[in-house]
Amino acid sequence: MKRTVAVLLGALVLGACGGGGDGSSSAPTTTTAKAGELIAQVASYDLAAGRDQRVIIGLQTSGDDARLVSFGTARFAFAYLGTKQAPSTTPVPGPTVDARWIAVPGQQLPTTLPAEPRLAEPSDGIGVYAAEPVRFDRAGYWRAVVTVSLDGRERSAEATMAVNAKPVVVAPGDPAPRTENLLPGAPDAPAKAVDSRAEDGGSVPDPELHTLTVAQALATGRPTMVVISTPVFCVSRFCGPITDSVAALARVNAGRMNFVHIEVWRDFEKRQLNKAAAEWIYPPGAEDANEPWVFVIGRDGVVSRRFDNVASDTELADAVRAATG
Amino acid sequence: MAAVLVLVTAGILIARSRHDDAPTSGRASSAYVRAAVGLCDAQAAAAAGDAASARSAFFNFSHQALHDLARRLEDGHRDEAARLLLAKQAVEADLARAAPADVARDLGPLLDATRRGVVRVEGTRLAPCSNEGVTP
Repeated sequence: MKRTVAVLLGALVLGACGGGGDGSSSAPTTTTAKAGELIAQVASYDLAAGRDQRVIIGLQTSGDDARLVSFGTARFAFAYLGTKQAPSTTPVPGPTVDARWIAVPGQQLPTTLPAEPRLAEPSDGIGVYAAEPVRFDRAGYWRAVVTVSLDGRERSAEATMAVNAKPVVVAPGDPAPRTENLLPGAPDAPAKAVDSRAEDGGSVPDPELHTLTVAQALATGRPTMVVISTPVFCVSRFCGPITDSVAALARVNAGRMNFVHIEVWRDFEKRQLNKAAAEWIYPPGAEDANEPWVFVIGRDGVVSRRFDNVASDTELADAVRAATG
Repeated sequence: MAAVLVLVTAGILIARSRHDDAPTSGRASSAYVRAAVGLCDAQAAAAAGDAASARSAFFNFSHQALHDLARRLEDGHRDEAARLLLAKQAVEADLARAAPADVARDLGPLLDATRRGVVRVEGTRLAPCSNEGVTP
């Protein structure tokens, strides 16, 4: 069945959509602040109740000359706010967890990073604070109060996020879709639909990520890592060269694990998603699609891990070790 | 040094914007002026062979605003969004390879795409870089 999926990826704008809070969407929200105050931006795409998961939140100051909060650790204190239909009169305290700063890949960072959070320029280090595992006991809206110590003084910011009753996107425990993604040279596969960096009629970058379809990869019985990304057209503020990171892992793990890149866009200008990408990140019933995503699939064909939006090189390498060990 | 260069160029850009005889009106948002300043400074640094300063100027002053601009262009000007993001990706790839000559070259199309994009979303025109001269 051919399904042409056209979608406006306005949802890639972090904080652009409020989400349903009733199980319909988990698009993050961001609070507003006066110039110079801290802003927390939820970078997680698809939070769900009743399961352990990673929550990632970015911190920065407000204003045109905004600076990032980078390095060290933060603390996330969650509280349940109810649903759109039944908001809580008072926030119900939820889990409080420690979060560590993880770097968007592809940066030139020093080997030893500062141990404490600090205000930083993007060239010093772009990243998010990640807490894992986090478990929300019910669906609805949740508030996160993010606290860091800056120059010996505790500073906080709040953000609100929607937590769905169950994941919208393919999640750990789900069987991996047997996707027949486009490969270079296929008659109906313009090079740009295989990787948005490809020139018309030219070769596709990272060929090691385009030798197998996901269906073929799963049939090998080896674990598989699938990165769904658009190297050119990513508009998330946390965009990094995640495809390059996966390609680097593919080069050192050839023969032990399969690595597949699926380009998000069939045609960016016409708003057409690749069907293969849609099978993973834009399932029926989803309100929008977000990228990038990285999925790890075990030898049994079941998804064992997923990373939304930001995945550090260390996280991806650890995931490969866990899958191949 | 990069910061000083940015401040100096910013003054020039804003001043020129006020007197620019463009077929548009108003002055671009400060974020986009700042982004253009960053691109101009990155280009100047790259042309001088200073890849590190080019990288700092690009990421500290331009990168986020270009993402914001691309998102705004996606509604109604998707061809311009594509042009902007393609040009941005080329520069980022050059910066990752620390290839200043390529950075300087590829910043030209990115500056063009940025200016076109700002015209589309704001109806305002960004001024040229200080080393580009002003068209009478």
